[in-house]
Amino acid sequence: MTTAPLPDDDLDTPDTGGPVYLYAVTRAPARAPRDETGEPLAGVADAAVRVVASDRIAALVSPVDPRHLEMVGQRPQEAELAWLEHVARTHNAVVESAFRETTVLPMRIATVHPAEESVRAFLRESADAIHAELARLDGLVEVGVKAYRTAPAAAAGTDAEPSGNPPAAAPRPDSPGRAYLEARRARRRARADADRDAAALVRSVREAAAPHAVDQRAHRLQTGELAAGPGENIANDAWLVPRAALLELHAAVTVLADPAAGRHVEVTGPWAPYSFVRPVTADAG
Amino acid sequence: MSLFGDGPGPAASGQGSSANLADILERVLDKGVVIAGDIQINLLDIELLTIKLRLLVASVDKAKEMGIDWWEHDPSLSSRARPQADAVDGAATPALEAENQQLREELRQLRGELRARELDQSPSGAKTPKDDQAP
Repeated sequence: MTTAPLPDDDLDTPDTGGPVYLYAVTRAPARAPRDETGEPLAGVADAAVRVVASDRIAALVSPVDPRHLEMVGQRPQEAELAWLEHVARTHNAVVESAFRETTVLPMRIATVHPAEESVRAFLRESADAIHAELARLDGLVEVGVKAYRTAPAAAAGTDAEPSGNPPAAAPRPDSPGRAYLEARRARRRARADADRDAAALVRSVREAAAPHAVDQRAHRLQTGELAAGPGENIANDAWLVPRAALLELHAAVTVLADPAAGRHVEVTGPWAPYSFVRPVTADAG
Repeated sequence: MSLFGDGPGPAASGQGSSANLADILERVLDKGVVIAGDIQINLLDIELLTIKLRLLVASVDKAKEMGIDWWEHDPSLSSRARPQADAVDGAATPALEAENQQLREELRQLRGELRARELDQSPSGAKTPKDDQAP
């Protein structure tokens, strides 16, 4: 099987022969990815991203300096976190650069091969599985839909739906003890209403998204300090969506948001189908 | 190039460099293609490098705080010796340390195997040197 180099100008960043970081596998692109200024796209640690092709599929890789790997885990926590962020963002940026133009299979972070030659062997030996997966995901993108809740702006009044006569003249409490108990009861009722409201939001968001999507994954709710939403995260879903249905899905779920009532909906993406790719095995048969 | 530029609120504005780190991490750490271990290439080298990089990730407390614990489910790591994963039942930190400990152990072992192989034979291909040479 021939592994001819791509017919273009990608030879400005030669194969170092050393280990490479593997970002994604895709249909063979016309040329190596470029950034907005036309320069070769920078990968992890600023190494230029290269295309390794075999037959009609290609891998996006960049050389990794072995000395750099030696340092991993040896630095102060803060530096490690910064490095992780760099790798994660770069990984996603490279995946995205290819994803803008074609279907891609994003690799998990920190997939490293000892040399480009072994990436080529991987492409060769997994070709059938890769083609099948690319075909399955063709034209589909991942969209993140998150729902949040916050305390409603107008505290009590909104949630206690009057189910008959309006509470025009609240009965005056006879004693401080009774007033306290009533206040407690009201708080508990308000909390239960809020929970019911949150569950209803999650349900309606999912029902609104489903008709536009072909698959769904529920991610873990975001709770840590990196979680940067408008309130408490109550749903964190990934949907696999035909490109053509993106705007419809967006409209269908965002219309359910009502920030004044504490209901928030966030849409992210489109992402490469990270949450939907299946493992690629060399001998899938 | 956001398709969602007209959405309500800044978070609806697509990704690019402004994407929420938590959103990126939960995808790149936790999802994406895992290359299964059956590839006829020099698996040992790949694992050495990959485990090393992932060690870093596993050591990041903040990832754990976010609830990211992919390494506990990662088939490429958990398929290796995991004697009593359930025994580590305590708080997040001890579990994390145990995991790190295990990964470091594997790393050292792999490194030893690599070195042994380099020393005692001429390169005759990429056979897996799994069988331990009795000391």
